[in-house]
Amino acid sequence: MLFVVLAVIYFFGVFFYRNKIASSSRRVKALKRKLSPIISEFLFWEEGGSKDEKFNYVALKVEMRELLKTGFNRTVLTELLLDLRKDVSGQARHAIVKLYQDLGLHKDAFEKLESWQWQIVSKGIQELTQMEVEESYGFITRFVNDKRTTIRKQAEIATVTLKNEGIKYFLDTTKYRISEWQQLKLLDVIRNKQDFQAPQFKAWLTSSNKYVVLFALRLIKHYNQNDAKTAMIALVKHRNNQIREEAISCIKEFYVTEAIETLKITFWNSSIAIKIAILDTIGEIGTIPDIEFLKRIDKKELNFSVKSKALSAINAISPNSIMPSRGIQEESSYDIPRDIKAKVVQKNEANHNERFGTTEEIRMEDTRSPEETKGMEDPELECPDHEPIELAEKLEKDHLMPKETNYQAGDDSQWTTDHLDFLPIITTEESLEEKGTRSPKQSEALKTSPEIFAMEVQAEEIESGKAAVIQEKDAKPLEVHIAFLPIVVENTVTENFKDPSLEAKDTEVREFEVVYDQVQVKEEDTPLPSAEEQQTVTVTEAELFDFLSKRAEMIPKEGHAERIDIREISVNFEAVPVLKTTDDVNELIVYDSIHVQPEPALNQESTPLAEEDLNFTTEPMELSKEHELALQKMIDDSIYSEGTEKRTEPLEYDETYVNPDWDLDPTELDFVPVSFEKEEKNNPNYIKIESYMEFPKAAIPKAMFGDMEFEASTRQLLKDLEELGNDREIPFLKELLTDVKYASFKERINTLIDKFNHSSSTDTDYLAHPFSVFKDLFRTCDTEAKLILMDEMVEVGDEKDLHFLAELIQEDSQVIREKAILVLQGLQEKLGMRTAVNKPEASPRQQEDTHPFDNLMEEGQSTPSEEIDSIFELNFEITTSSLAHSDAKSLQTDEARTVRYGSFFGQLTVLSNKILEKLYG
Amino acid sequence: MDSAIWNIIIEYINVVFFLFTLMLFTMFTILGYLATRNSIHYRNKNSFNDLSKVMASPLAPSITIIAPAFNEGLNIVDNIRSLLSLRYVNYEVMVVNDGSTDDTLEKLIAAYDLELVTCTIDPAWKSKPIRGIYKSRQGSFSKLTIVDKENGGKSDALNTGIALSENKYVGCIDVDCLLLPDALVHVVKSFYRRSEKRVIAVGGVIRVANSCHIEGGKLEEICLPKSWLARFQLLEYTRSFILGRMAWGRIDSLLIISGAFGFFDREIALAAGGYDTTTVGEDMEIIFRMRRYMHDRRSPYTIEYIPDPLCWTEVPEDLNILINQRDRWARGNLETLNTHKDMFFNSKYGRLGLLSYPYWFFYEWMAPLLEFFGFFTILLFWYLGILNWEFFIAITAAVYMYSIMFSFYAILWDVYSYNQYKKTKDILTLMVCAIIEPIVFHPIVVWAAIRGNYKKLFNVKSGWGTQVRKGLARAS
Repeated sequence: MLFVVLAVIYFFGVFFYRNKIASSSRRVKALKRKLSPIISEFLFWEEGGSKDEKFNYVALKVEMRELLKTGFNRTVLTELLLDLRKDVSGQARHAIVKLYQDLGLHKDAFEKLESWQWQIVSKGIQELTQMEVEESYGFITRFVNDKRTTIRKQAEIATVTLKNEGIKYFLDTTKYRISEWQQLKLLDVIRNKQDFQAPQFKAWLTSSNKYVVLFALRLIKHYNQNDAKTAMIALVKHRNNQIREEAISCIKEFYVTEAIETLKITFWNSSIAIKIAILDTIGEIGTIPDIEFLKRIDKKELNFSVKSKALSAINAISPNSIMPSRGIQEESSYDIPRDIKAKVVQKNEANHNERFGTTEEIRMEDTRSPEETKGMEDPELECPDHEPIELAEKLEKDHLMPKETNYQAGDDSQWTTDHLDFLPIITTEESLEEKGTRSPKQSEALKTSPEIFAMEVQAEEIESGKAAVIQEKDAKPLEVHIAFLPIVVENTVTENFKDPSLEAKDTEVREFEVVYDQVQVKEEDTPLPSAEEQQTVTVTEAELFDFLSKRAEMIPKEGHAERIDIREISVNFEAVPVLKTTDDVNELIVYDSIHVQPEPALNQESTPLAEEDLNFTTEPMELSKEHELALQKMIDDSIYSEGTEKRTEPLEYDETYVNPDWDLDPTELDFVPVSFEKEEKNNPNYIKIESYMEFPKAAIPKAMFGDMEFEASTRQLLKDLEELGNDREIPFLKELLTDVKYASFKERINTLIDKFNHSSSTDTDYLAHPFSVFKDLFRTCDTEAKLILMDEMVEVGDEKDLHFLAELIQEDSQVIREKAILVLQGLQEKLGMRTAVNKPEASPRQQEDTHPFDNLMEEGQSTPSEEIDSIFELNFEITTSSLAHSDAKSLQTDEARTVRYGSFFGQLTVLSNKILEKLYG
Repeated sequence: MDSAIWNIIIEYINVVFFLFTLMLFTMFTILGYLATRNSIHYRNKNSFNDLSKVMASPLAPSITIIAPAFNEGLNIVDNIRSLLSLRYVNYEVMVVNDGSTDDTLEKLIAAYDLELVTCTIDPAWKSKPIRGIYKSRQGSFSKLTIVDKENGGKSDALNTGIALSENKYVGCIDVDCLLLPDALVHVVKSFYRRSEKRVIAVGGVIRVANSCHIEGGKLEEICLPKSWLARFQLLEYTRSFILGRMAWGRIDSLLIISGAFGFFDREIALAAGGYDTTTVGEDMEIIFRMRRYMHDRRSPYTIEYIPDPLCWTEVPEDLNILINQRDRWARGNLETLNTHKDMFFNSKYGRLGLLSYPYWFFYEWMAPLLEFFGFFTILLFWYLGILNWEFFIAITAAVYMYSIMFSFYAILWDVYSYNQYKKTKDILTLMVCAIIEPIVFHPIVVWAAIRGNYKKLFNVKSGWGTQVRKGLARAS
């Protein structure tokens, strides 16, 4: 019966839990869906936004506060923020962390620290850690030696995470074991810490906690702190195998050759893993004298892995010392033509047998006799060094052969059980000579180890250093971005080379050094150029030819493409209008001839280029009068935008007239040795435009006409102002009025000022009592929310909220009154106001409150002294109305002060200026 | 007189049955309690780990996953692709082709662009000859190694893999198993989280993947098997892994790690001699041996158990294959218990000798025999007219209800911990399985165990048997 009851309970229990899980999941999901957009708003909210944005921000904050009144919502929000934090980085992560603390969720985490349940305490520590609540550091460090494992581990991670010096504290104070997993996590924390300055971890190699020593060794290795060699050598003798193994690993990593003797001493009493580690290290850092030790190991050691490692270490120190023997066929089985069979091979064979007898491994000493060496140098003979290659190749071929023809089950000669890891490493003579002085990297490359599966010929050929077959095999056309490379001034140019500057689409025009040459406009009565000449461009810049002629020398005669990185060249833009016909205005062409100024080195070796090779003439450019007028018209048209009045003055030709847009700033004229010479010629229809080559480039001021960006931005700005602006832009417009020089702009600005003046008169009330975004919110808030809102006012509020705050000072609630005073002061300080805040007139309730004291005074028949009175005497009086007035006034003055940069359009202007500044450096 | 003796004998038998049943209830109740404690503890503890951060750590240990393959040509390429896509930085997949007679090797060579490489193995290491070792020419498959060897059975193939591996840990899995991407990180965590004891092995839950939706080697949707036989096995696995092994893991007395998902400290596995090639219960036997090895050296050690569903496998849906499988398990159980019989109530081995081994002896090996012979005894008593009906009905009902209750409890914990079967219908189906299982499925299992014991005790030659799998890829 009991079981029946239990079964029924479990039955319902299953569905109860399912429903509970499902409903909880639904609630969480719904809440997350609700909270996500709010959090997004918070994350991407920026100070200085519009009033609507601010309003929304504060409203969201209030909404969030309301939501956080229930524990479930707080938990879900915390979870959401923790999840989000994992997914974002940088500024967004900081915003999440800030929001977490702003919402007071960290207080919940602090409360969790007081729980008696380990999982809750751990959860609290974890939250504080992930949300980077630095002030919790002190609270958490007391858990570093907690006896409850999970709490302790979380505290360790928190200690290391929250402060940079946490790792020191942790290593100094921890008394417990540090599991491998914990070390892994701690290292991960340290690795991902920004601006982490690793301390000298050797300080902890003397710790009494062996796990601290082990972790310190790993940290030393990770941070490449190779100043603890002596300690490392000492730790090779440590009782703990893990520490020994790690110390050996460090010795190998830092190439501590002094440790070899210690390694040899400790070898014999070590576990197999440590023996292998020692041999691996000796193979890496050992030298020829250590080979004897390794040979002894080969003879005495029983373990196959250790023996193998010893032999491979020998090969690592002295390549080709150990040769494979099993599975190798007798030479007699090879069908070698008699005429090329070398005697030396026989000689070597005899020598080998004499030395090694019939042992399984062939050990080839490097101490070969001069005769052998001589024999090896004979190109006609088989080189003994190459013999292993053939053997290896043979083996490889054998492997590739069908298995039924090569292998028999249980055959001892099968290669699979052979010592094939001792296959030869092919090295050049040079490498053999250098073997005693290898760098660690080289040694790494030469290392032979049983863990490397393939010791094939192909891989060995890489070691040869000369004929790197694999490099040839893998050779692919390199796609290297070489645009950053400097110009190579050589006459030989690689075939099929593409000019990177041509391919580089993202070439920065801003990087060009641009010098504008002032263009002279002259009238000239030169005859109309011929039809042929009309097809050419007249350039007055002789330097261009100089350069081109010099560049021509650089062009290879074979006809290869010429290369030059255009970004390395300083370029002078000369706006040279060129006119070639009088018939059609459409044919008016304005050319910007680019003067490419080469490096001086290039100039020196240049030779002139034949003029006829270029479609340029050195004749001055000429413009007909008519076309000059047409050009002027076009320029003017481009200045006037839609909706603005065009210049009404007729475009009449005046001989003395020079386009004012081309005029120079009078203040800069001193620096420009330009003289306008007006030539009275017979044919006034032509203007000679001449560019003076000898101008000092730096002295030439920027032509006003050239500042097209300024005009464009001004035009756009005015357009925007017309659409969006209000009376607050008036000061800015006035300022702008003095800056612009075109009448059309001035006229338009005046129109706008008039327009805004008119509209501003309707907003006087608004200025007197500006609208505060907080006012609306206050209507629906309780006291707590009001206080929170007032906190926000200091941060997000502006002058518009001053009046509202002044109103709040008259509130009945004392808490709000006091808060309002503080907030008002804070806000005024923030806004740079120094206005004193009046003490509010006592509310009726306050007045009532003061009576008891008065009564007491009366009862005591004591009167306050005048001196005391004088302390509280105020020499000014502020009334509510005057405050409002002063607020409005200060608001206006503040507006006036900040309008240039504080208003939206002011900022726009600054922004555009900044962009332009950046563009032009 | 005769009647009195009979009565005494009958009473005696009743008492024996009663005590056995009572012990069974007590044992399972304690197991249920321990499993509950362990599950809650694991759940709480596991909530603090962010495994993703450490999978690429420079301190992350190296692991070799060894997957023996025999005639797995149907799904071998997809299965390996799934193994190669695990989320871990430092691992190798070693597939040991155990002399397949189908096109397993050819498919692998073609699919992964394999080439022969050379490698060494200790000549003293006893395993069937290796025909070749292959690595892929493509860098994207650099983690893959294929070992082609002559047929020597699963244990022999695993031993070859362990010997050839160079990594600190080796994982022995069934090649047709589907591992979840985070499986290796969980394993590493289990190996590394202890500091006071050496973790010599890590085992995990095996979940039933029949009828689940698997796409591109990834488990997309978990579904209840369509076959009733597979459903019964699912319930059995749930009970065994959620309650049984969880409880034994709690008291560090696990004596078996499933062959489909077991990871070992390579050094200890080699030192203990690797898998026993003479038994069909090699997964249980190696744990016995490794434990004894550590016990004999008085080295502090433990075996970890991961309750998270990391490994999904296909269970037989054919009755004969199921009986063969359970037959083999019974033989393996008997062989292992026989090999290590000196541990029986041997206090030298602590809980292993005094608790785990006796449990396995009485409730894993003997229980089916008792059930089988009890059934015939009841028939005999009924035939002789001496059956105590009241007692029989009471004890049968108690056992039956207890088994249902225990199954319900297992389902409850599965829902509480993982809640993987979302449909109410699935849960109800599992509950129906729990109700009818003692009548429908359990007798089959008992029969298979009797057959296995018979074969072993009477030296009837029998091997591994064959399991024709549909293949996880096709299961979807």
